[in-house]
Amino acid sequence: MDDVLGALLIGLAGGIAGGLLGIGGGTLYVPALVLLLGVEQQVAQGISLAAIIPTAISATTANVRRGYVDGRLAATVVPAALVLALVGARIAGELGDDTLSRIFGVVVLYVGGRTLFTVWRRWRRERAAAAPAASAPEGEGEGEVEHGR
Amino acid sequence: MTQQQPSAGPARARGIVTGAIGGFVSGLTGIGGGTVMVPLLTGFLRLPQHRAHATSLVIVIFAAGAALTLYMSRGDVDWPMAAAAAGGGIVGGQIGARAMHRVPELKLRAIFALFLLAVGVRLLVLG
Repeated sequence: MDDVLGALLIGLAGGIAGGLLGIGGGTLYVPALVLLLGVEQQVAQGISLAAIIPTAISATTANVRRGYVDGRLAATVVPAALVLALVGARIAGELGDDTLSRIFGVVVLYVGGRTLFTVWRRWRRERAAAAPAASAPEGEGEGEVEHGR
Repeated sequence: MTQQQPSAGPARARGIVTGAIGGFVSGLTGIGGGTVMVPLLTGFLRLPQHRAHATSLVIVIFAAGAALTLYMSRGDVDWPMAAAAAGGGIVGGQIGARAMHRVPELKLRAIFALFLLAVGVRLLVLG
């Protein structure tokens, strides 16, 4: 019973973070279930996936009302995501827990560092554009030159 | 932020690549793919931050659903726990989405970057 209450609170916290960050909340669900409630890693991932779906639907209803959802793009992305999600889950069943987490940790660190760098660059550019007279040769500090790859 | 709209062909190809990468990570980690999907949508597909977060969540619904079928077939889903987490998640999702609408573009991006760094460090340290 304590575990169910714990799962409810973890769901609430994960839902808030997920709705804000656009991630569904699993990043919080899995470690919280493992570390706080002592659930086994594979089982925690299963609970997380089941909880993510209603959580993401809930946040999406609010986002649709604000016109933030790009439905046409989602329709392009989803089929490939479905196929590769199945492949990934199959591999996850055969790998150790540690390997999975550490590989993903490296990827996430890289992506986070790169995102923070682009924020810092845009902040600097906007500050330069806002500064009086002398500086800012280009207009408005607009058009972020993100290197896509 | 005015974003340049890529032409239809490459945009479609990039959408497919984005889905492939995000979906694979989703299945591999059980995390839902959004953590990787959002940076792909902003960096690769040039979506503004709010649209990326909102669109990522739609993709996450389907990717999580697909991965869930495998966990179900292995019996790795504790339904009472999942139902409780989902109950909290439905309420939390509303709160989080409304908070997201109120945060300005660049600040939202910074919040997301810090979240990624925290997640990366934790994964590396704790394994």
